[in-house]
Amino acid sequence: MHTGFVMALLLVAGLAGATVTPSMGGDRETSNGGPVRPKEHGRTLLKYANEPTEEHCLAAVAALRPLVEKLPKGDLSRIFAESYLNQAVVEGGNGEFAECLDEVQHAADEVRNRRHVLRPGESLKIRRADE
Amino acid sequence: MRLPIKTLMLTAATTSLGLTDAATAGGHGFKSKPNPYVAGDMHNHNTCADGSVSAGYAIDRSVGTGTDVAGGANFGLDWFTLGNHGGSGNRDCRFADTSANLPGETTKYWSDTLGQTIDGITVTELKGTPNGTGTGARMWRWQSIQEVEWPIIVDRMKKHNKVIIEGLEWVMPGHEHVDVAVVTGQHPKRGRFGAGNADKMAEFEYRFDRADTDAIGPLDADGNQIWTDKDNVNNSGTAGHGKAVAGIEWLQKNFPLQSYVVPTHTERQGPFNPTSSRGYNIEHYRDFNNAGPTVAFGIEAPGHMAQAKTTGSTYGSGSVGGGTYGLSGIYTSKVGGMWDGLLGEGRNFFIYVSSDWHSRGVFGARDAGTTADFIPGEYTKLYVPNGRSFSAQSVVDGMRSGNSYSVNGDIIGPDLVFRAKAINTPRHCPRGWFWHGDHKNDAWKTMGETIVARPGQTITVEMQMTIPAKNFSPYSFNNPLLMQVGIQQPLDKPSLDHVDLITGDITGVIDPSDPSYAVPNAAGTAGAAIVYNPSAKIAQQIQAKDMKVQRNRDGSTRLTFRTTFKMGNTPFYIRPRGTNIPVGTPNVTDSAGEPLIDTLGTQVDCTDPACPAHLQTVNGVRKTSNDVYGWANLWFYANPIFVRPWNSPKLLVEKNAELAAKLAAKGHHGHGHWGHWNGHHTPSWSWNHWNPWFHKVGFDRR
Repeated sequence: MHTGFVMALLLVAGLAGATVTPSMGGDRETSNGGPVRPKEHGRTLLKYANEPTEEHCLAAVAALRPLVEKLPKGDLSRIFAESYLNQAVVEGGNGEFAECLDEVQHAADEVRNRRHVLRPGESLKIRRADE
Repeated sequence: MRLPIKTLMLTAATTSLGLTDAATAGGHGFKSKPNPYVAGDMHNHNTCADGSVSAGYAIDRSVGTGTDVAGGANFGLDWFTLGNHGGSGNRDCRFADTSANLPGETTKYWSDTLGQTIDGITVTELKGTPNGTGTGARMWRWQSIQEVEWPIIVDRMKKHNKVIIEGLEWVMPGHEHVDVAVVTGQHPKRGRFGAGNADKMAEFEYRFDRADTDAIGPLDADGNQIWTDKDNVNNSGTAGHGKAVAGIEWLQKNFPLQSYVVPTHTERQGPFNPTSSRGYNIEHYRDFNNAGPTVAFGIEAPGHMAQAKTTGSTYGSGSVGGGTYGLSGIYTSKVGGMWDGLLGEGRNFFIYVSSDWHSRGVFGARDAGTTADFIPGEYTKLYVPNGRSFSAQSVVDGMRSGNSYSVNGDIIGPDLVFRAKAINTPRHCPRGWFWHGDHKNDAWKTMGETIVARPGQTITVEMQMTIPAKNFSPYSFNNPLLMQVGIQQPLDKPSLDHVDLITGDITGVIDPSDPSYAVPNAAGTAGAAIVYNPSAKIAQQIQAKDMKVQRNRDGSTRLTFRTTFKMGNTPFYIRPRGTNIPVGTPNVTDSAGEPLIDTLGTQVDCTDPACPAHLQTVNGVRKTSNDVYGWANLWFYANPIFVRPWNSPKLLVEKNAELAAKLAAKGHHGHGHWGHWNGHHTPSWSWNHWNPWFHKVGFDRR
């Protein structure tokens, strides 16, 4: 299995409360030849041993989307995570599969860490197409 | 193609030149005097690749003036190079992505639109090797360059009367991405050469882009391949690097003056990996410059300037440097870093900046805020010399000459003067040369040029720059980074704190057989510790308060200073950079004034009630991140002036400029190009005559 794909699934698994843990300890080879990097910002990042593929991209997006959709509609982190996922799909459609997985990673970070919070009475104004 | 003399489209960059005259009838811009430099962008995207808006909309917002018909400010660039990724894409870039929130625009795939005539363009088939099905059916980029983007450029060129170029973000074999343009054939303003074409740009993409694995390409009327003998194998690692060098050699052989190769976000993918396609080490840039002395002459800044978050910027922890520094990569931001290493060889190796515009992140295209990228012209501006017949060729010539500078957030305007000259020139040098009054040796030299001086001579350096009254920031609250040191400065009013004059010794070109030709590189902050030119230093730091100040009626400020250096026995270079951030600003600059990693700056609280909702929070506290961080942490970088002793060998930068001049003399400039380029100066007239302030400098810092 491709390490990029592994990375995405691990991120998703971590968010879902699964106990899957990658091997750690600096740059060393994984079972399929990809070096592992230590934890960064509370998540696991892996380098790619080979170039990621469209299948990796689509699977990572599909795995994360249900977790994004568990957040309440209108929740700021959901809005950000959906934006990242949209860009991930765009990158995949353009053949930029590493960038796709980067965007999935951003989305996972947003879901996990809820990095955007509105103040009481505040809203995020985004101009709609019909405005 | 030739255009009338360019006029500056003044927007944020209001200057002291009195150029803010009323717009002319017809909406083609402002009637104004010409400026010495014109602003552009060479790296941006649309829906033919991974951008969010149509190709036409991206151009309209970038070079148009006033407000777009659908809303949103236009940014008035003078020139624009469309630089989409190579490879393939499944979306039709005559339409914006739904996420752009543009009226009536929804994502369209090629599978939706084949056979339809849209905006006068009919695409009947996806050519080449079949590539996906349904909405995943992709058009190879060579086809979209030729059949979609080029006709749109022709249309927009007529609409805006600006220089618009079809370029490429080359997915380089063995490496990261690279800005490329081949302007041969690109003369879209109809004339005796017709509408022109971008066929050579397309051919390069087909032959050398590692994401373009099409094995067929365009066919002639008999069904035969037009572009034969493609290497579709060596796309990765060391073999990929070889193919990349072959691509540069192809450009140098065929388009030595009509093309450029500029690696972009160069630190992002970490060091070079011999078994994959990642970043670069210094030896790879040396290879590129050796293979393409007049086409591979620099690198570009990271782009994505609104992506600085509390957890990282457009660069992650695996990049060389582990992040961005003042929104530049470590190769250029670090004094003594990789750029200084290449300059220390005397190479013609310059730096540039672009937007890398894809989307506005969580926002739509018309929103003023952005959590991802700025639109071309909104924040980053690459200035190249203006010309009497400014054209696509002028852009390439200006970049190649090194006479260019890169600006974020309009911290300075389009009228930088950075020049130097040797003074106290003797009437007779030891070999009996008669130097006094010799204009070649006495003239001011500017960026990319070389001063030849005698040891002991004084080198006078002069800088003049205009700080515009406003930039395009939608935020008028005080800069949170500067609030830390008690400075109240609105984000939409750029300021300059100081200018660094950085010098480094030039010790000569390193031969590929020399063990020091290749230098180990490192991912993460370990990469930031690598010193490539130990002689590089901030030789002088000139505070804005110590410069001569002229307040202009339009609210802008003209700053001027002169200083001196002493010519020794070793060649050296002088390059300036400037910032709004004082030395020793917590989390932003160190005690010498070097920019700190941006993941520190994005920890600074944004406490003003106007701090927008899209900024990241940590423990409930909003942080100076995303676009606010971009507007808060402003820098400009200018290319160097080289200086060498009179009896020392010519520097490579001089030799390569002479090579370009010889090639120009042999007629290597293509049809419709500016034909009187002199090989180094882009303007054919004298800099001293061109510079309106030449006789007005009264401030001497000595």
